[in-house]
Amino acid sequence: MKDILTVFSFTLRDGVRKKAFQITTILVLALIVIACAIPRFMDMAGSGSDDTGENTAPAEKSRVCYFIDEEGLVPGALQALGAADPSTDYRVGESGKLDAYRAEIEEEKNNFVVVVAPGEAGGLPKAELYVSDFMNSGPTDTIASVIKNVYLSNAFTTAGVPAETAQMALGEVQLNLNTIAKMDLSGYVIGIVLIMIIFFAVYYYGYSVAMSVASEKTSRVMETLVVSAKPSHILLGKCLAMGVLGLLQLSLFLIVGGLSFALLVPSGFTIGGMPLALSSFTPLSAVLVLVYFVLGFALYAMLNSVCGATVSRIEDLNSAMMPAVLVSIISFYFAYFPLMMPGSSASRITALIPFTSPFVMPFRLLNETVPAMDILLSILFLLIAIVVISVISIRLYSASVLHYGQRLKLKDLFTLKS
Amino acid sequence: MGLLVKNVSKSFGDKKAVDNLSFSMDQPGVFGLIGTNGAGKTTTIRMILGVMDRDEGEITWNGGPIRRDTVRFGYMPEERGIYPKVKVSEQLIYFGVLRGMSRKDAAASADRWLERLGVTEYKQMLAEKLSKGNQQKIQLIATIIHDPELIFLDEPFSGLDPINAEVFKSVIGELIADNKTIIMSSHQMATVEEYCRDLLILKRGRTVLQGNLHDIKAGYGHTNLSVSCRQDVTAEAERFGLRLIEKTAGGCEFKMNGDESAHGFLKALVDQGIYPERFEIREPSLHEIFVEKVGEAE
Repeated sequence: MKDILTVFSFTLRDGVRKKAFQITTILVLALIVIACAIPRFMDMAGSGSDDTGENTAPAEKSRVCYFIDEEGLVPGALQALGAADPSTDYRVGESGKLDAYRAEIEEEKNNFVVVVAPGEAGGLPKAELYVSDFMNSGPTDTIASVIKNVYLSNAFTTAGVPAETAQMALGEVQLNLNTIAKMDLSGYVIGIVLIMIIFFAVYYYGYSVAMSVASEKTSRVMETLVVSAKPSHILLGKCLAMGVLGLLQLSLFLIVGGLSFALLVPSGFTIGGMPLALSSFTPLSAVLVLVYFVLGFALYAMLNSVCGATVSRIEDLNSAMMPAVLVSIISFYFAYFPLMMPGSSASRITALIPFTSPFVMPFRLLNETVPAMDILLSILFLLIAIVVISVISIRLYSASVLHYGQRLKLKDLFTLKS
Repeated sequence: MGLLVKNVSKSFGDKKAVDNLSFSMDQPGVFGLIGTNGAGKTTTIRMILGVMDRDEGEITWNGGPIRRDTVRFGYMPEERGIYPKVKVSEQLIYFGVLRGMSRKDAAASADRWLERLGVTEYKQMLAEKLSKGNQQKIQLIATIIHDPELIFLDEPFSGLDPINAEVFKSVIGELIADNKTIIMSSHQMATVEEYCRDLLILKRGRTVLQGNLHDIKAGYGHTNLSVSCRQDVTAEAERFGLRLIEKTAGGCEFKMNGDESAHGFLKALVDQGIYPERFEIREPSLHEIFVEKVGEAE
C-alpha cells in the first residue's frame, strides 16, 4: 500500500508540474468564463440600444433594391419594405431599365430587383426577385410578407372591413414554447459540453498513463522501478494519480463554470426564447457525473496502460494505442443516442454498456429522468468491467514491462510469461 | 547461507535463456557473472531479483526467498534509467522511499552520497541536463541509497571516463569493506579480476566455467611470458619453444610450455648482453580464459 501511495504522490506532483496540464487548465477555465460572459455582454449591448433608442443613428444601407410595381398593385409597399428592412435602400424601379439593373447586380452583388405582377385569377400578386446568386438572395421572407400584408390591407380597406379587424387579420399569433419533459436548452448544451469534457479528460489522462508507462520503459527507469515496487502497485499508483489529477481538473471546471454562470449570466437570459438555467444540474447529478468520470477514466486508463507497456520506443505508442482509442471514440459517438433519440431503447442500452456508459449516462442524467435501477445497473456493470480489465491489464503489464525489442502484438501479450 | 542459486532454468518460447544454472555465495564480496551478449546474465539477475519468474530451480538469500519486502537489495541495470525531466534529489528520494526509507532518511542518504560522488551541485537540476558520467553516478546512488545488503551491478563501468571509473571503483571498494554481497556483470575482464573472488562464465545460458578466480588461474599454471626490451628477441624466443602470440610497442607476449623454457630464454638473453626491462612469467589473464572457454563452447 505504501508503494502505491509513493508512486501516486510522485506521479501526481509530476503531472501537476507539467506545462501541458497547466496550460490546458488555464485555457479551458478562460473559455468557460468567456462563454458565461457572452450573455452578459449581449444583455448589456441590448439594454444600451434600448436606452438610447431615440438617438440611434439610422441603419447604414448596405444594398439597393429596385422595386418595380408599374401596375400599382401594392401602393405603399415601398415605404413598408423600407420600415421592415432598414438595411436596404428601396428605390422605385422601371421595367425598361431591367437590363441595366441586372448589369448593376453583376457589379454590386448585394443589390437586387423586385418586380410585382398580378397573380392568377385575382389572387395575391406575385413577385419576381432578381439576385446575383443564391448566397445573396435578399430578405425573401420579409418581401413576401410585406407585399402580402400591404395588398391585403388595401383590399380590406376597399372592401370596407373595419381597421381593427383588418389589423387583427394581418397580425401574427404569439407562440410561446413551454416544455414538459426534463430536457431543456441548458441541460442539452451543458450535457454536450460535459460529454466532450469527459471524453477529452478520459482520452487525455488515459493517454498520459500510457505515455508515462512508455516513457519509463524507453528511458529504462522501469528496470530500476520494478525491483523497487510490484508492477501492479506501480500501475495502480500511476492510474490513481492520473485519475485524481483529472478529477481535480474536472471539479475545477465545474466549480468555475457554476460560479461564472451564477455571477455572469444575467437572470432571465434566453436563447431563442428559451431560458438558460442550471436547473438540470442537481447536487445528485453533479456527484453522479463525477462518479461516471472516475469509473470511465479507470476503465480506459487500465486499457491504455497495457498499450504503453507493449512498446519499447515512444514513436510506437500511437499505433499501439489505436485499439483503445478506437474503442473510446466509438463509445463517445454512442453518446449521440440520447442526444438524437432521447428516451429510446438505444439510449437506455448504451447507458448500461460499460465502455459507452461513461459518455452516455451523464447526458441522460442531465436531460432525462433516469430510473434509479438503470443507474445502479450501469454503475455495477462498469465496476465489474473495471475489475476484469484491471486484472487482465495488471497481468499483461507485469509480463510486458521488461520486454524490449519489437512492439508486442495482442496475441504475444497473452502468451508472454513474466 | 548467503545467496544460493540452484538448478535454475528459464525459457522464452523455444529458446533456453538460462539452462540449469547453479552457484552460491556464502561470504560477502564480489561475484563475477560473465558472458557474451545474450548469454543470460540479465535474465539470471532478474530471476534472482524476483522480477522474472523462473521455470525451474531454487533461489534463496540466507535460506529464504528473495522478495522486495524481505530482502534489502539494490540493482543497477546495464541500460541506465533515470527520469530525465525530474530533479536529481527528487528522484533519489522517490527511489529511497520506494525501498522502504522515510522521506527524511532518503533525503539525508541522497545528500551524503551526492557529496561522496562529487555531484552535490547538480542536486536541484533536471537529470537530463547532466553529463552521461554524472547520470551514471545518480544511477549508482539510486542503487545504494537504502544501504542494501545484496547489490547487483550490471556493467557498472561502461561508458565512464577514467576519472569517474576510479570514483566508482573506490565506492565499490567501500561497499566490499562494508561486507556487502555484490553480483557484478561486466565485459571488462580487468575489472572483474580486480574485484571478483568467485566467478561464473555463461555461454548461451549454459555455465562454461565457474569457481574461485585464483583456483581457476592456478589450475592453468604459468602459461604466459611477457617480455619488454629494446632488441627484437622473437627469434631467440622461438629457439626455446616460445610461441609469439602478440607483439606491441610495449613488448612481446609468448605462450610457453613450462617454466624451464622461460628460464633458459632469460639466461640466453643475459649471456648475449640483453637485459629486458620486463620479464614476467604469469598465469593466463581472465580475458584469455574467457576467450578460450567461450570459444570452446562454440
